[in-house]
Amino acid sequence: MQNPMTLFELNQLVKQTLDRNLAPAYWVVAEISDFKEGARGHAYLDLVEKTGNQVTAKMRANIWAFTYRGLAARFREMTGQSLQNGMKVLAQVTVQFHELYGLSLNIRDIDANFTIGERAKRKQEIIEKLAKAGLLETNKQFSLPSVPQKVAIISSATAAGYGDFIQQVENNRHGYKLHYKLFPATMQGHDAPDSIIAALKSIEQEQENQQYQLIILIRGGGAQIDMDCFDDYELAKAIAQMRIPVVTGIGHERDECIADLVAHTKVKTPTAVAEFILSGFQEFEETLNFNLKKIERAANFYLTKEKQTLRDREHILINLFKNQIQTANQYLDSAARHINSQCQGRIQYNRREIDNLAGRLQRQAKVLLQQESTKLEGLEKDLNRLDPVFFMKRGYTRTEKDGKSIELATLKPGDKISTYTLTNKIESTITNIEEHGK
Amino acid sequence: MENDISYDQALARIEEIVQSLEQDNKSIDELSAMVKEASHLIKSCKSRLKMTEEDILKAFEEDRE
Repeated sequence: MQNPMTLFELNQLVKQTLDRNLAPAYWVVAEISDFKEGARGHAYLDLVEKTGNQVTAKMRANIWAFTYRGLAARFREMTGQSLQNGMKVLAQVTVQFHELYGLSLNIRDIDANFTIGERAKRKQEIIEKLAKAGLLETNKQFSLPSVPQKVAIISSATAAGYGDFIQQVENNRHGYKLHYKLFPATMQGHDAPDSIIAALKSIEQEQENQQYQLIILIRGGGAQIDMDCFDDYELAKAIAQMRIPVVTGIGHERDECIADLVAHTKVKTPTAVAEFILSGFQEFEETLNFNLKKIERAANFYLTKEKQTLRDREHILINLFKNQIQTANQYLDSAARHINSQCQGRIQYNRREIDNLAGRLQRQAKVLLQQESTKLEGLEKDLNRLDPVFFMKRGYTRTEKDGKSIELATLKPGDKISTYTLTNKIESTITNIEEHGK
Repeated sequence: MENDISYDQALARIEEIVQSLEQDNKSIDELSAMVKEASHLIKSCKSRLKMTEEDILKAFEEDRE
């Protein structure tokens, strides 16, 4: 049996053997686990290797403060992320064995490019999976409402980004009104995907009653770390399958996350989301105003044109009427002259005729009157001549027998006769009748 | 002269009376009445002639105005 050795001696032997046989440094691929930053600026972690979920290799590791300060800053600058659990890294390590603390790895450097590539590779796989399922364009098929009135917001109520968004929307200088409802969710860390998915489900449940037109996913703000949650496959799927457009304002400066890829539209920051929505409002309003102006211009143009046409027609009509009136007037004047001259002729002629007739009538009337007068005078003379009074005044008498002139009667003595003088009637009896000759 | 008897009728009546007087077969009473009627008729006819003449003159005067 070999002489026993102390543990310290054994540990020393192990150390010497390792030092002798191992290279000063190795580049090793491993996943970070159980990462802690110590009080003095050192970092303590485990490096592990997994097959599925099974850990197949594991070793303690540290990064001394002197190295860690520069390394962590450089890494963050290049990857946009801090070293953290679950991250696959390519690290330059030195195997250390301490008699008291045992085996551990001292990390001297970490190749950020490997992590970037690794992350990109993983992201690419998810993207390919989404593409295969046809989910990359699913949400993009919905058309974005130009003026979204009802908006569902997924964010953290206390987050600065949400506050920025609300501030921007409420105080917009155009006074546009947006109806929104917040569906609170955890926006960073491992819990974020499930929380956001739950919020999306709530929106879906309300959709029938609320009729949201747009979903906005805005991150709470803060440091540019821990963005991996937005590269989650299930979250991406949930976003893609929403039946209303999803706009993201996650605030990832470096490159797009998968949530951005499946969303309808990706905007950089919550403020930018607000601007995006408001600019839609403004564009719509401007389009309206522009169209209004166009309509106004067109209307004015047509009105002016029609006015001119009317004025032209009016002129034409006025001229036509003037001409017609003038022609008619001329015709009337000439007709009047014609009628006048005709009438004057006729009147002259008729006047002469009438004068002539009147003269004839007068003359004839005079002749007739004269004739009648003469006739009457003749008759008067006859009458005077025949009037018994005419004779009686001169002493003649009239004698009658039986009411008739004695010249017409046969007389014999003894006959009674009546004799009329101018004043007397004398009754006598015939005593003797003698002829007296003249 | 009555209005219902025309100038011509009046004239005819006067002529009838004259003829009747010329025949001398009436009594002195009848004669006297006839003479009175005839001279009345003659006066009436004369005045009508005068009126007619005046009417004619008047009518032509009016016409000339």
